[in-house]
Amino acid sequence: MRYGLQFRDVFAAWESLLGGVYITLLLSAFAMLGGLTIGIICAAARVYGPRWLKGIAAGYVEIIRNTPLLVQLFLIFFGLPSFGIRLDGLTAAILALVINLGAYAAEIVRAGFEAVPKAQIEAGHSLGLSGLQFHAASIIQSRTFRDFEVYTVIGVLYLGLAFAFRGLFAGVYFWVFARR
Amino acid sequence: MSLVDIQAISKSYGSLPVLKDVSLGVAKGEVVAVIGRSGSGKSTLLRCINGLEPIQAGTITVDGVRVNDPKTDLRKLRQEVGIVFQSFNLFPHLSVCENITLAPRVVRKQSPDAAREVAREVLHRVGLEEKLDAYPSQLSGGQQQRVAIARSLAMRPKVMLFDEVTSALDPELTGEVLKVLEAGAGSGRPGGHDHDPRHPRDGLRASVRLARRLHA
Amino acid sequence: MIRTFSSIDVMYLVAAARWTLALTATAFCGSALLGLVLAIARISPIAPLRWLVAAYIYVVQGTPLLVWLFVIFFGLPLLGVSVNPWLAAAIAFSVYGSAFLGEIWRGALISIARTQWEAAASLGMSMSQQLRYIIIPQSVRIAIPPTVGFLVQLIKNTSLAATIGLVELTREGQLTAAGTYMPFAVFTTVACIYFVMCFPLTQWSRSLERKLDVAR
Repeated sequence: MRYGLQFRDVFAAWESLLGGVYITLLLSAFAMLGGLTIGIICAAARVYGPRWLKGIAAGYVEIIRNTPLLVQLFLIFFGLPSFGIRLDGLTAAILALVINLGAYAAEIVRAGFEAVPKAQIEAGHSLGLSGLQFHAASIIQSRTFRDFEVYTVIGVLYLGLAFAFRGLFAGVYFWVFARR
Repeated sequence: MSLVDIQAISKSYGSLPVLKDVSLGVAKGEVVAVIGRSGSGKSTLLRCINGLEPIQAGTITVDGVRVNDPKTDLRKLRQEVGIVFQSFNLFPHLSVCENITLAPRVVRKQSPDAAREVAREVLHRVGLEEKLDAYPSQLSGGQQQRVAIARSLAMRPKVMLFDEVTSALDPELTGEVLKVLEAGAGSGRPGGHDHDPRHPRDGLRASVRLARRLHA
Repeated sequence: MIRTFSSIDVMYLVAAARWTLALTATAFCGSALLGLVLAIARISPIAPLRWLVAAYIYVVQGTPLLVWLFVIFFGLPLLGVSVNPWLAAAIAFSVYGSAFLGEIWRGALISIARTQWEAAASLGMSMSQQLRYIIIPQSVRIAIPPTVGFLVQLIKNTSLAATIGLVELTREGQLTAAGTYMPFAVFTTVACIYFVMCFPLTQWSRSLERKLDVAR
């Protein structure tokens, strides 16, 4: 059976894709702001806080860094309603990302406080822009049934976003540190 | 005919000329010391001879083989041209014995036993037989440099290049290395260069040629 | 049928963790094989090869793992390969992991001083011999801590395979949660199992890193 690739249907749903990009950017912005805030508080607690606070902060960082983001998301979205806390998908996603990123940010900020050079290869990756696939994909898929094309387009969109943000951050970095 | 024949070579790093129209011939068994101010291109000249650095003009021939010819197998050439570096460059993860026997085994395909025999012999020549199983980090600078010399000798090269082999050593340690060089010259191995003009006068029966045009 | 979350379910979850480990092991082997090739290609003297590999790494690191998983899971059938979550996950994780391991290992390779390459080349060793005997053995020590760190990332990331229906720990958790209506207890247990697998590795990676810092 020949399978002709049909990207036209996917592009026809550009409004859904655009909506997905918007949600991705929204999630990323919240995750970065919230995560960095928690990270700074947490790092300060680990370096300057009393012993019990250090313990709590260290425990938080270890638990988050050694469990998958997906399981953290499930705990918040499916688990919290057991305690009467019912969150919509977007709120749960933001909460999970903030908590997750906070732990990684805490390690980076602490390394800065202590001026200890650390291999931070993994840290940036939890920053991965999440969310696009959950939203845009489900909307488009229900219309086109063309999974491969949908996810290829989404992959390219992510690549574009990653490219844009790398450029943006490199530019900001240059502007802040290198220009004087 | 010279064993090493350098004809009007020029070399530059980008727009910075290092060697300009340098010619030099070294006969078999001859010891030549190249002398010049630091930064005048002595090391570069040596590195050109075993093909570590490409040259832009002229020709270098070692035992009839053109160094700067794309068709030349540099691996073959380098088996015949030993080089000892200023900073020793021993392999820190290997013992003295392994440092010396590695190339004879994997390049010259000698048997481990034969290679070990050669290692013993060359270590004896540099007076470090008892260090066969030591690691480089357990040796003094002078000892490391003698092992580096032994490592090169084990390949039985036709030419030996010495690149300021004592300049990284404390003055009290240079003597042991120089003694080894003297002995080497006596056994008919052509030598390389050293920036300290005392050395040739002290020991080597040197035919010193000041390469005046080394500096561009 | 609604049942309660009992010790039997915990046993099932622990048993499902072996599929997480199996997928991690498979993905690590694929990532390591491909990653080693990428790391070496990144330091090869052939410029177009370096660019090609750099582009591959840029593209893979610039797109989420989940998208790779979906593209391969839904794309393979178009090439006539039957849909198999295991195969799709193994390929997706290998593609993804190779880009990261490739970069980690490239960093380790280029951390070895250029003089080590030169010393080995000067003894007549080929490029592959220099890599095999001199450069790789020395860079392994530097590469181990971040590689163990990557392994932790990999264990956690295999949870994403649940989204294409591969029954590993997270998917088993989803099924159990659906059956018992006790999602909080179930996912807490799942998180604990991941923690037990990852935490020792994280600590090991850290202690190795500290040792390396002291050694420097």
